[in-house]
Amino acid sequence: MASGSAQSAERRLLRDFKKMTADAPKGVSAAPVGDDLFQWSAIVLGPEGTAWEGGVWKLNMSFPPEYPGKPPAVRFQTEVFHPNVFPNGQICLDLLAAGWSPAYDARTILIAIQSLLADPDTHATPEGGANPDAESLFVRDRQGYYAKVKALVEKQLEEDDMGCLSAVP
Amino acid sequence: MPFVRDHSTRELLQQDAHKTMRPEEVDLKMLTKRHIFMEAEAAAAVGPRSAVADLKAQYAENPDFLKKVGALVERFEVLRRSRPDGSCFYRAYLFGIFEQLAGNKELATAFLARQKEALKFCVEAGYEEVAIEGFYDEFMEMAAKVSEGVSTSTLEAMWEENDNDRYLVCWARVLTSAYLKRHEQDFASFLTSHSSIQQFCAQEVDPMDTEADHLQIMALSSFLAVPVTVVYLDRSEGATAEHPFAHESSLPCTPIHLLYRPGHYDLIYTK
Repeated sequence: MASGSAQSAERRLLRDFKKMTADAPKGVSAAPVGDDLFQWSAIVLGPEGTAWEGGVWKLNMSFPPEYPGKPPAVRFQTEVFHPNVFPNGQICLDLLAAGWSPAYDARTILIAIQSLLADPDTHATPEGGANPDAESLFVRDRQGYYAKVKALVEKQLEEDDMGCLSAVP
Repeated sequence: MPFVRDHSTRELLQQDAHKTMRPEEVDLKMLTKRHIFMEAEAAAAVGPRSAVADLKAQYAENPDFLKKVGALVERFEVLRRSRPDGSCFYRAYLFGIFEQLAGNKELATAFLARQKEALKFCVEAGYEEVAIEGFYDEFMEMAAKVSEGVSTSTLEAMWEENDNDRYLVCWARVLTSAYLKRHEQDFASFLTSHSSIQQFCAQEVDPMDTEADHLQIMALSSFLAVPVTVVYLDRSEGATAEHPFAHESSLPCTPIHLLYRPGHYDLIYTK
């Protein structure tokens, strides 16, 4: 029978991690930080053929003891300019809120985030959105928006890319 | 406990998600909803057997409903409430099935044999095996244990233990989703406000607080092969309407009866 939740969360996180190591989807990667199974560090590469290509986006995933009953809190650590991402890195994604299902795992989440990067949901946040500047630029001036994204990718490359890449688990 | 519409939990969760962004927007309305939600949380997942006739008191001041309850009492005797958290259909249907398995070895054997390939079926529909195998194992383990013949009170207790209810409901949702996805051509034409079965499942099946409607019931009852009849209690004219969901492949067993009131399903038993 199902056992107490923190213990089952741990078992499930181990399975998620094993699966992630054995068969990581293209352009995403994640692993627990140190020996805390509930805190993960993740990397999402900008999808190929988009303005995000070449960029490395680091995220934190913080799993609650109720996982997978409740979704992890996922936050960008790398600067992002995106209609569905708050300036503090918090992500507005239905899958991580009301749309969560315990049948989803770390891979499902990261794949969804990767596709969100290139394909923002401008209807998800009718009340202003997570980043109104990014949203209005995305809607009004798509090329201008892409230019800002590309500038962020460039900035990553100029900055200490060792520092960024050393975070790859 | 007052009757609670399932919608409230969904709305509440959406408001909660919203709240994390703008804490200053917590208002009285939301606090009221939170209160309702907490009541829903506190209720047993599957309530004890109670008399259908008790519904008369609940609708004493509502002649439309009262008339229908009168007709209902003619055919049905016992009611069990399913916690009104959005998963009421999945829970009530599964509980009804497990009750039947407990008393019928032959049915249980046939049922378990059909579910052997279920995990593979769902993985082929796109789920990650690591993410769902725990729910499948739990479901099979409990079904096998119940099949050995347990008393109703043991089944009730098992259901409330640990996270069993959540595991079982989650597995039922995965099965429903997988069945819909793998029979996309049969279901896609029924969609009204979703662009694809994939989207429908992500928004209306997978999340734990989304209610079941015709498509979900059709899919799950096909997969589990146990017939279910929904008895509608609403303001419409005439006697209570019944909708049987049975399939050619259904196992030879009595249909589970579910009482539907707008936004909610409970288990109901014939005399």
